[in-house]
Amino acid sequence: MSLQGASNDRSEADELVIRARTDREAFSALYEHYYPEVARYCLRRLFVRAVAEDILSIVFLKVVAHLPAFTGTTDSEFRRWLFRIATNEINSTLRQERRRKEIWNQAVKSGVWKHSTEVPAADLTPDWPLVFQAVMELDERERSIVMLRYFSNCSFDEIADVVETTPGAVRASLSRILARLRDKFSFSIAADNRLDRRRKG
Amino acid sequence: MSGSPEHDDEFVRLMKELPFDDAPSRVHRESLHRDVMSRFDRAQALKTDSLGELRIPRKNILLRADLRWIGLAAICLLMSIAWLMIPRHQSPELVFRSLTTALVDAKTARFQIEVKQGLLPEQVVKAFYQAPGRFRQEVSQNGEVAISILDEPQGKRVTLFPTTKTAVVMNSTGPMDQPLADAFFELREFLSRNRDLNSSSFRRVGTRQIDGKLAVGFVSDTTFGECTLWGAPRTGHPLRIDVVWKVSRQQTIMREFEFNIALEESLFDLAPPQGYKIEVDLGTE
Repeated sequence: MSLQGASNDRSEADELVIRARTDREAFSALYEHYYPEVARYCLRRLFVRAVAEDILSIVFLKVVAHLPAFTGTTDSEFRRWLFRIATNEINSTLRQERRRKEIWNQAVKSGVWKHSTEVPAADLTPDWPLVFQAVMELDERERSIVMLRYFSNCSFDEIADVVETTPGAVRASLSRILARLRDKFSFSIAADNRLDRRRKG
Repeated sequence: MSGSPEHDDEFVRLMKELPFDDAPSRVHRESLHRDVMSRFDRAQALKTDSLGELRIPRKNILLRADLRWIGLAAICLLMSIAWLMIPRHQSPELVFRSLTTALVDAKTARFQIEVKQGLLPEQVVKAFYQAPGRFRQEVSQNGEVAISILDEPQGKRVTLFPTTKTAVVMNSTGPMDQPLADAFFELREFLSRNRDLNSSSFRRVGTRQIDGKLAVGFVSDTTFGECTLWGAPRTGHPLRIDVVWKVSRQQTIMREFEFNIALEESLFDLAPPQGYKIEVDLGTE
């Protein structure tokens, strides 16, 4: 959610962005507001906390370094700019094949997820490793779109700005990604639905 | 969250329930806050210093420097105007940029697709595209006509066979089995990530004549196959796109492109015409 949405006061949020260029307190407030949102995005994209926090540091340090060159004047523009920096940093990390394997191995070792066989009533539990694997198999751009849409609550316009395409293309891509993932998850979703029905019943 | 309800289904719920700790760490937030604020302070201090420097009165020196810059700028401007007036082709980078932009940013498109595979007879398909995911194709073979209309965001497809007055309707959240539409969508998506020649996987392949027009070519080995784009050297308008698909070895040639033209809504009407027998295609569901 953007500052605008949070406060229902558009000008106040925009004002904060403008003041943050020169005003220490305003910049600190902006940081405090956006840190959790960007942190969650980095964690969901990179899975390994240590790596995600490294990237998060780079992102905010870049924000400070490039703030004088940022030409936006609204909270919405700042948000798009911030997520574009984060997305570029994450993608450039994932572009290194070695790094990607390292992240994958660390995520498995650190038990980010549990194998379904370790969980009671495994047949009724979504196959989380499969779900994670399917998400990991998406390419950088696709993962950016899914994560921005569902975990950072970005609109199609905002996502289009971050991944440098049109809102229509984002919508079409998302539709195709979901169709592909749905196929992979058909077992998981079916199991999940059964679990739900049992809970309700 | 703004957007379409069709995406807010059980998949989304499943994604949101992923057993994963994404809670931000307070320790990291505080430590980064300190670093960030100290950088902020340093940047502000530097800015104040540089502003102080600018306040030193050096009026005459600045005036002379200004005149020199103005003269230089005027010469540059005149040279640019002369350069622009000489008829010439764009640089390959600009042609490529215009070519990819025309394809990726198109709201509507009308073009022709030729499909060749081994010894099978060549198929010529008339294609119509409307953003974000509507695609109509018309194919005629041995006197038989087939019209297929896909609305991907809605997950609907209807194929009409006017000779037998049959309509095959498909509603699916899975793949829509529309290879030519998929090919076009995939191509656009690939090009949207490869708009700039220098940072893309494309390389130049010289020039050739296409339908009596000079064309500049760019080729890339993509994940789906070898793709060659041919564009007009002066405008970058796409003249022809050749794709040789990796798995099927099928050759697809797209040509006669028209972009952002008015297309009648009825071209993408998913309701079968009156009097048609309706069959349901269950697809992969």
